[in-house]
Amino acid sequence: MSRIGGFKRAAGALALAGCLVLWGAPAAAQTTATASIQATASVIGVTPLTAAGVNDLQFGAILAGAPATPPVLSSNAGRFNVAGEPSAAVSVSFALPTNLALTGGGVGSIPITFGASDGLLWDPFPTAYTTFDPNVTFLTSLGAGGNLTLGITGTVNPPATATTGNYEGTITLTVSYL
Amino acid sequence: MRFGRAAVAAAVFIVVVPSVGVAQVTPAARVPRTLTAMAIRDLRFGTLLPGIPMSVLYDDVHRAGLFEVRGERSSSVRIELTLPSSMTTSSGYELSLFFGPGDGAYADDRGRPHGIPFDPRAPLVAILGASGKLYVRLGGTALPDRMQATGEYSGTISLTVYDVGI
Repeated sequence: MSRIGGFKRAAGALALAGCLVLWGAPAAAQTTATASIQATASVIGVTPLTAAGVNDLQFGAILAGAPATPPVLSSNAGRFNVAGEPSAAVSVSFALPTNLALTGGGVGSIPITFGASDGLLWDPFPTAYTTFDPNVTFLTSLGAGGNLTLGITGTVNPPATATTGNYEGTITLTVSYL
Repeated sequence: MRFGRAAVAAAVFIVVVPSVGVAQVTPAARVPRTLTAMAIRDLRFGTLLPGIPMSVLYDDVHRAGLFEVRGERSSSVRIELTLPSSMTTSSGYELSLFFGPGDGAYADDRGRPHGIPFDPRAPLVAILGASGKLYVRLGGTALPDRMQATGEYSGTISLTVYDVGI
């Protein structure tokens, strides 16, 4: 009994001693800290430039082996609406595909080309336009209302062996203030 | 360190003679003050016009960025700032930012806006003051271009402080 009691006392004392050792040891302090602030500015500048694709370039149904262009430019040419600072000068460039790919998991493509007059500058849409070369950067300016309507047409050249199906490609317009 | 050894010796003594002296042990390890960093004030360029750069000096008490670092008094710390190269709007427009070698300053007193200049692009090793505080001030230059879009621009500046342990 006394031996057990002695063990208990010793164990209790050992536990207490352990606590004391931990308590007496140097405590670890945080050695890194981080804080953040914001740099802020309010700019009274030009109207932000926006561009939106509003009409796909649609060739419709075409025959294998027969080159084709959009039937009606005002309704079938690709079209983008650009908005920004009135009368501001801008540069316009396109990323143009060289092939349209067969959709729906099929394998196949048809070539597409863009000529030097396949860029369309509508003013006003849809009654009048002038042309430009969409293969190179085009410089123009937004209208007095801050708007610009750009179009793109092209020619597809389906080979005689083209597979029946729908073909698609992506045309990307980039417009920047000068 | 001396207190640490004393505590261990007392513990050994208690194990051998469990009933003696427990209440007399006075653990008194010194706990170093926790290192903290706080954002006090943003770096504010205010209203800008296209094509006109705007600089904020580090001693501008209203517009310069301000951090407060707290830690063990008279201890050495290393401070690193993460500086953005531009501010942006929520729609992604960018406004260039520049930080030069004279755009940072530090002081152990918030009431001293001039402080000691430093290059905020490089790490700074400094000693916390007798109060255990250090204030880091930051200026910079915003560079709106000629066709800078209208909008509210912001960018995050982070300060990280490390205990050098000297």
